[in-house]
Amino acid sequence: MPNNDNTGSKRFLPAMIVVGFFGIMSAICMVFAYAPQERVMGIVQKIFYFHVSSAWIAFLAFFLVLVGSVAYLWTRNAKWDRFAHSSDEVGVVFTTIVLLTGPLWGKPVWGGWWAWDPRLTTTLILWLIAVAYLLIRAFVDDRDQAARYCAVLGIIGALDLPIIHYSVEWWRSIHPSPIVLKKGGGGLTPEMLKTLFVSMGAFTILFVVLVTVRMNLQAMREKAHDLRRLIGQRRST
Amino acid sequence: MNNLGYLVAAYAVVWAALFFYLWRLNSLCRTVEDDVARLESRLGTESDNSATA
Repeated sequence: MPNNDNTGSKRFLPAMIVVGFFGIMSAICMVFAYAPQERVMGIVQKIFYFHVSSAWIAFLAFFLVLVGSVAYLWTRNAKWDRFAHSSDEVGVVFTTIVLLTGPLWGKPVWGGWWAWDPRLTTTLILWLIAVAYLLIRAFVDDRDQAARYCAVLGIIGALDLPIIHYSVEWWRSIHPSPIVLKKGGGGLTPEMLKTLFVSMGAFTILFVVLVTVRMNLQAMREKAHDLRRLIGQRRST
Repeated sequence: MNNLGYLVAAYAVVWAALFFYLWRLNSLCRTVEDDVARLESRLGTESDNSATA
C-alpha cells in the first residue's frame, strides 16, 4: 500500500540509492567485461541488456498503474492515485528508452530504424497512452476529475500489455520472441543470462527509488495546493 | 559486424534519459519544498496577525 508518510521512505531510500548505484555499476561492468560477444550481431547486441531491462520496467510500471488505478476507483483514496501517477511518469521514461534503443539496435541488424511491426507499434501505442495520461494531469484543473479520467486511461493502457507481449506470437513479426522465458535461456549463455538479471535487478531498484521520490514530490505538491487554498480562505473571511 | 557507434549511441540515450529525469525530479523537489516552507511561514504570519488584531 502506498504510504503518504515520508518517514518510511526517508529511512529506506538512501540504502536503495546505494544498492541501485552499485547494481548499475555492476551491470555495466558485466555487460562489457563478463558477458561474451554474440557471434552474429557482434558488439551491438550488448544494447540488449539495457533495452530488455527498460522494457521490463515499462511493463512493471504500467502494471502498477493498473493496480493503482483499480484501487483508486475502488477506494477513492488519493494515495493510490499518487502511486499510479508516479508509476506512469517513470514508465514513460523507460518506454522512451525502449523506443529509442530499439531502433539503434534495429538499424544495424534489420537494416532500418523503424518498421510498423506489431511489437513496435503496440509499444508506441502504450507510450502514447502514457503520455496522454500525463497530459490529462497537466490540463485538467480539478484534481478528482483528473484522477478519475487517468484511472480509466491507466486501465485501458494496461490492456495493451498482454497485446505487446503476445504480438510476436499472434502476428508475423520481425521482432524476436521473448527468448529469456524459453527453456534453456533461448540460446543465451549463462554469462549473458546472469548479466541480464543483474541489469534487470538494478533497473528495478532504480524504478522503486524513482517512484518513491516522485510520490513524495506529488505529496508535497498537494500540500502546497492545500496551503494556498487555506491562505485564500483566511483572506476572504 | 562492427557497430560500436550504435552501441555508444544507445548507452548515451539510456543514461541521458535517466540523468535528465533525475535532474528534473531533483529540481522540482527543491522548488516545491521551498514553496511549502514559504507558504507555511506565510500562513503562520497571517495567523499571528489575525490573533493580535
